Amino acid sequence: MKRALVGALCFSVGVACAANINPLLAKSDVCGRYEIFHINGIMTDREEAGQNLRQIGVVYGNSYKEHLIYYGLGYNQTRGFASDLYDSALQVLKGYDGATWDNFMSYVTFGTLSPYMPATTAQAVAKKVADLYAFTKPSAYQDQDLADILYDIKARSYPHSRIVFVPHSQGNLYANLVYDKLIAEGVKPKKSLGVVGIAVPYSSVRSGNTYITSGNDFVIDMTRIVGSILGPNITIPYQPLVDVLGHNLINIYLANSTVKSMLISRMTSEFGALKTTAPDPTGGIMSQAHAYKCGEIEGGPYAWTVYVPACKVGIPDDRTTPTWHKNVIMNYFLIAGGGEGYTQHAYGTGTFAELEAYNKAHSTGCYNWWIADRKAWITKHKYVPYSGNYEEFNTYPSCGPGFPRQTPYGNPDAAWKIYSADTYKYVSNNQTSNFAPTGEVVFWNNQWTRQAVCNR
Amino acid sequence: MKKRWLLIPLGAAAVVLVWLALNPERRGAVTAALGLTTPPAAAAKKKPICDYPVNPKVAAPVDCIPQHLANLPPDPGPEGKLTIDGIDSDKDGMRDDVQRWIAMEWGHSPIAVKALTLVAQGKLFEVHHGGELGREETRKLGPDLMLKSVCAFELRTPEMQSARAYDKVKNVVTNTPERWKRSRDFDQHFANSILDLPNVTAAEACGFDPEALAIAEGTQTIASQLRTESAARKEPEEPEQQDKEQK
Repeated sequence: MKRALVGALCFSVGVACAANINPLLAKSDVCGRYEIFHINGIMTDREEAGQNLRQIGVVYGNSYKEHLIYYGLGYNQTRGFASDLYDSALQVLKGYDGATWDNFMSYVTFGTLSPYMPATTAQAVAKKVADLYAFTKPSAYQDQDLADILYDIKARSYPHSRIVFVPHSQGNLYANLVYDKLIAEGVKPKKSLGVVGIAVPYSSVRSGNTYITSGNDFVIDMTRIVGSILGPNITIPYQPLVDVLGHNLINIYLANSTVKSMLISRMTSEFGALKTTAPDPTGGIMSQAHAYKCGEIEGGPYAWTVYVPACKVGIPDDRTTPTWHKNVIMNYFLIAGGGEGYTQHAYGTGTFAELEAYNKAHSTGCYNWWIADRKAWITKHKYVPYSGNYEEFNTYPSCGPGFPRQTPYGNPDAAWKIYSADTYKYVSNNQTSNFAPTGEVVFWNNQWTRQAVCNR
Repeated sequence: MKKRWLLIPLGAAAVVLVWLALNPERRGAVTAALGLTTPPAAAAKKKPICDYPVNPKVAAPVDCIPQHLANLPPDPGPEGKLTIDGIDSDKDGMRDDVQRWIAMEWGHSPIAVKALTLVAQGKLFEVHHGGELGREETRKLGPDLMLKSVCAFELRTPEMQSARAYDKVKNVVTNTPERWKRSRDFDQHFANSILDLPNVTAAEACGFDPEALAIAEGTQTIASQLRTESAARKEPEEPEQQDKEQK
């Protein structure tokens, strides 16, 4: 229910939970990365599995709530299986007098019996084919297979990440085994793992039976007559010329618009319900300013608009052009120090290294750094009080030639990592408040501070 | 004694007959050389190459050879299956039978030729190296192979998808049990591992813009269609309104 509500919220209020964003403008992942692992079914070579994953990525988008999603392929190539289920079924059928693909298919799809395809024969054929493909015989996976995939997931997955597996067909079995193993070995907690199964030939999908199976999927129907499996929850029109089995991920499932919508909403619901294991960064200090290309920076230390030439180093100041260009790519800017009421001048934008080098070479005073255009958070212990009559929490100053760093200016190791959180809360004097500023302005003088809160 | 001498020409004739029967192209060449018929290649060359784009599947020209079918290497026939790498007579890196299949089936579509060539090259690589490279060496190729998969996806058009063109060209490449096994062995090295999906644009993955290629052909790639759908799904944001409120 909770998952459904999260999904519904994302779409009904128009919040683009899943979308394509400029990677450079993505939030960072203080609360853990969002990761999607696709696990392919059999009869899928690596190249096709890679394409399937890319298509899932294009359908879902590269982000969840402005966080870039990592996509990985858990390549499932189990040993010893025949190459094609249709051919295998034909081979098995040869062992039964009068049995043909058509009368087998009629029984599987419509329950229609014929003299050459009594129920016992159909069930025996289905069992043999299903066994061939390990739909009913999980022992095909060896311990080493699972150990290998677990090792790789450990190596690739970030700490505190939230993972949604999107397996197809027999990959669902693999996903279930991997899911169990990740939890059993303490690699990931259950609350950080979700699954959206596609074309599921089993009785359950881990994490709450979130799945998509077509009623016209012959492979799943065939498995259904030999065991109890999850029922179909969509009917994709049968297209024998595209895939006689109605089972292919890219040509059948992901080619259907309803499936695409279902997939997006279910993946979003899964992500929404997952919890991170990241430490709660409450107590940190938010710093944020919007940057506008060669225009303005809003959200200065005194909560008023600061006009600066927020251009890349070396680009002329065009502050006279009051055009607002949002979403310009910029990581840091350099702001000249100044007393209260003074305009803060930025020397330009660029990477920290670029600006640090520029400043040290050219500037004649000490400068504070601002982190722009990202919902950023500087860890508490990096907080640097100013020795004067007001506090600032940007950073230790970067000083030009002849201006050695003053004390008690901060820790030279002050992290320049930028973080962001799932949500924010506002506190005043360490008290949580209902105050909810409409803007992105940073409040100073220890009055109002935005704090990052991980969705735990 | 006389009878023995008679056996020699008879035996030689039998060998020639068997040889001719097993090699249709050579048989054709011999018969042509004897003036019994016109060599097929020569007959084909009598027609000029079409000076306009042609889709022979729609309307096959009778007076000229479509450009994409001109200068194709000869059909290697059964000999092309005798070795793992087959025959690449024009030394362009593409096995002759695969090159011919792509040209004859999809030569009228430049984007399909690009896509199928990419997919075929990948499969040929697997066939060539399958069983030769070790697990670690193979896995080092993972990022590059995933990039190629991304490009192949970005080039896929509805026409290619409905015709299952990628599956078919792979089947052409792995058309012997040994080739199929080597391709599978190559993939086996990646089993139970994680392959990162590169976060790149279509143009970055391919080194050219697949969508431009599709547009030039009057079609649209599936990836592009999906992105259009995705953009339509998103409600427009109004950041400027928010900004004004802040001020």
